[in-house]
Parts: sequence; C-alpha cells; structure tokens
Amino acid sequence: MRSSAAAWLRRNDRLLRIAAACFLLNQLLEFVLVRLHGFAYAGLCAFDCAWYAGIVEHGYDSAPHDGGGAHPKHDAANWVFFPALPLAARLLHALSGLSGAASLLVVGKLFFLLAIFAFVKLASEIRPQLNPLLAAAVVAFNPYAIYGSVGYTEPLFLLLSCSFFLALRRDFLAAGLAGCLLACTRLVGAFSVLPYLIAAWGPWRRARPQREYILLGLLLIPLGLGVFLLYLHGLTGDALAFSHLQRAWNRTPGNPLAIALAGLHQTPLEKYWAAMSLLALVVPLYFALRRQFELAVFSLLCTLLPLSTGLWAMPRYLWWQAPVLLALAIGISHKKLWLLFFGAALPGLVFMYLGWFAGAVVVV
Amino acid sequence: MKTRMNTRMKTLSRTAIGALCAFYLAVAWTAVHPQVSPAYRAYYIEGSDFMSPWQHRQLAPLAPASEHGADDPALMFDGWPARGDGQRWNGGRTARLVFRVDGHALTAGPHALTLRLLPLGTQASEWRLNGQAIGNRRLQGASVLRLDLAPGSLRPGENELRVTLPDARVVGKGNLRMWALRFDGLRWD
Repeated sequence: MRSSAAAWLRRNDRLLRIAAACFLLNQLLEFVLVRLHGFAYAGLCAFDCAWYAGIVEHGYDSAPHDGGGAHPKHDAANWVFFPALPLAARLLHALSGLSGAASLLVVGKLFFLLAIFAFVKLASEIRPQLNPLLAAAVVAFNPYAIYGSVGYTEPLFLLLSCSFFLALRRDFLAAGLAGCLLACTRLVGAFSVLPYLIAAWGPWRRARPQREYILLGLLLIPLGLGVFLLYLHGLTGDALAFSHLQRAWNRTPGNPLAIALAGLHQTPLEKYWAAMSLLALVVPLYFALRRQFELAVFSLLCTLLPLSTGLWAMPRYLWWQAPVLLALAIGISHKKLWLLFFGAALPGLVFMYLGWFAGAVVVV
Repeated sequence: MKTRMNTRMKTLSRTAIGALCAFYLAVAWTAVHPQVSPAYRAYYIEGSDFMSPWQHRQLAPLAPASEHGADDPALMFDGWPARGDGQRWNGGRTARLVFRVDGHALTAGPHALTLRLLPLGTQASEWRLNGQAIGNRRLQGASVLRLDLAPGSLRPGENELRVTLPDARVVGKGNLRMWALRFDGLRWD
C-alpha cells in the first residue's frame, strides 16, 4: 500500500509541484491584495459563502427567512445549497473549532490546490503535448480564479469533475463514486450520468462480465443527490425544495439560448455575460469535433443548465468547467497567445478581488 | 476459489443494483408527493401566488372605516412596482391587491370599497373582487372611486381586488413599463 502510494507520488511528482507552485503564487497574490487593501481574510467569505457558513454552523434552515434583510418576503432558505462543500467544512469545523466561514475558506483553498492538480493530470492525459504549467496557470490565474479562495463550491466541482473524467478512463465504479460526490456539489453534477453512459457504451457492448460493474457505477451517481432529496423531504416536506426555493432569488427555468440572446440587449455587464455564455458553446462543439463526446456533453450541460435560470453567476459556472479550461489552455498554447491571455487575465483577477472587497455586483 | 469470489461479487453487485433501484423509486415517489402547506405549494411549487407563505401569515386585517395607504402592511400589491411616498404606480394592464378582513368585523353590510386614485390621462378600469365584477369606470384626474359590494362578495380572510387597465401605455422613450394608475389609498366601509 505504502509502496504503491510512493510510486504514485513519483509518477505525479512533476505535476504536483507545478500545481503547488501555481496555487502558492495565486495565494501570494491574494495575500498581497488583502494586505494592501487592508481587508480582513474572514471577510473573503461573503455572498454564497455566508449561506454555506450558516449550514456549517447551524445545519439546514427549518423554515424560510429574510436572509439578513436581502429577502423581504421571507422566502429564502439555505435549502438551495448542495451539501458536499458544507459537509467537508463542517468536518473541519468540528475537528478544529474554526468558525464556519474560516472552515469554508480553508477547505475551499485545499480543494483549489487539489483541483489544479486534478486538472493538470486530466489535461496531461487528454492532450499530452500540452505544457502542464500552462494548464495549471489557466486555472490559477484566470479572472475568475477568485472563487477558488472565497469558500465557494467551484474548486470542489472542478476537482470532482476532473476526478470523474480521470476515473472514467480507468474504473467505472470509481467514476460512479466521483459522479456521486459531484452530484452532491451542484445539481448539474448529477448529469455526469450522460458522459458516463457515453464512455460506458463501448465496454458495455464488448464485455458481458463487466456489465454489473458498469451498471452499479451508473446507479451510484445519483445516490448522494437522492439522500439529499430524502433529507429535504424530511426537513421541509418538499424533496425538491432546493429547486423550488430558487423563486426567492427570482430564478425560474427558461430557454437558455433566449436568455443569452436577450442578455445581449441589456446592461453592459449582462451583455458581457451573455457574450461569454454564447462563446462557451463553442467548447462542446470543439470536443465533439475531436470525438471526445463525454467532455462535449458535459460542457454543454454545464453551460445550458445554469444559463436556463439566468445570466447571473454564469462566469463562474463557465470558468470552473474542466472542458472550458482545457479548451482555453489548448487554445492559448498556440504561438504566444498565452502571453496575450495572461496579460489580460491577471489584471482581471486583481479587478475581481477589488470588486470582491467592495461587494460589487460584478463578482457575485 | 477465484470463481467463488467472482460469484460472490456478482451477487453482491446485483443486490446493490436492486437496492439502489428501490431507493430511487422511493426518492422519486417523495419528490412527486410533497407534503407542504397550500401556501407553500402555491408560492414555491406552482408559482401561482405572488405572496410568500410568510406574507400570508403577516397580513394584518384591514381596519374598517379607515384609510389604508400604499405603504400599509395590511395591503399586499402585485403589479404595482413603482413605489413612492405613500403611493404606488401600476406596471402593466392588470394589477391586484390583497387584503384580509377579520370575520368578526364583517357585518351583514352593505359594504363598499373606496379608492383614491390618480390615472395617467384618461383610463378605463374594470374592477373585480374575488373574481366577481364589481365595477367599470372611466377615470380622469385625481379620483375617489366608490365600489359598492353585493352581499357576500367580501369574505372573511383574504380578498383579492383586481383591476384591468386596457388603456395602460408606455411613457417616454426606452421605458418598457406600461403605466395607467396611481394608487393612493383604500378604505373599507
């Protein structure tokens, strides 16, 4: 056991170092910005993180409330937030006595580091000729990398989606487990069932003895979500409360393309988000043309499903999507495009931090 | 030995598959059979109610023979988005407001609702209380509109007063909202 772990470490030594270096540089940049701005680290846990902190410290709400004054109709509750991240933070909270917010920031950063590594590993398998440093830097220094450090689900989602795709190439049961955790992180994770089916189709037809394992792996994917639904039913009487409570945030599902196209005629910020969302639809097309249908379908779902409820928060759903980041890394590896990209992305990341400190709407 | 292991693993995985299928059936059943209050169902699940369950609980009864302004917590507005100092402008061709009447205060009648309104130019208006037509009026300038109610049209508990405004119109360039009427106050006698 120990020797196999040592062998794994030896095999991945270079990628681990690259991931750690990029993570540390990202954290150094954050440290400098926080100090220069005189901002408190605890203040990094805001917006959604504050909701998660409530779950870490007190569990799920027993009834809707006004969300600290943000919901005057008293119709909001933390039931809309999926349990994987708060459960991980709650474990740290129980073991260390750290506050809910601090626990979320710590586990979020740990997941950020692991997500960079998992992404680099995935990139090295899908596109071996891609420079791993470039792949790591795309995760760590894109403008929306801020969500890796502020107690949001994004780094856990990236970590688990990369783990899912890595496992899909090796072991269907492991892929099922990764998919199960992914579905406990965000609803769209449950749709990893589709890339799983695509990947399993060949082995299913070829090897009859493997079929039980393939089916078991598939059935594992919605397991965590199913447990969460039963829990919500027990707590609220409504297993789909996580979806129905979106009304408190004025998010009701619609046609994603219509929403994006309508966004092109709204405020400059909405125009920017809409253009970004439409551009992201090139990614599934790119992977489909390369016959990597698992990545194509996953990317399509991860873009269209959140887009169907509005443009709000689309940037983080796009910039923490493994296929989008992979396509971006491949794209900027041509010639010296990466110089152009990071020349714009780094100031963008600094801008996002300043926006976060100011509580600006652009970062939510 | 290896065959026995394989058979055992196969049995185990088939049992797990069966258990997971049964579990998902149970989850699906609970998902389509929510056990929630009618107010929760109407607001969150069906989206047919603009008032949250909390707002229903908070709605204070309308005091008889006294005027209630646009900021009064005894009135709930839907389709009256432009809120000013004690007034509200509608936005669209229909608007409604909900108020509660205490059963003890509801005498045999006759009852009337009196509204203080300011229309945008001249506006036709059709009024319904709990789905029943109670008046058609053309409004011009600051108006006091008295709507006499037939016995039984006002009910104990929540009542919905809905107005249809066919002459609502957009004012100014780049403005998408349709305006018709400003609500200044309501009195129940």
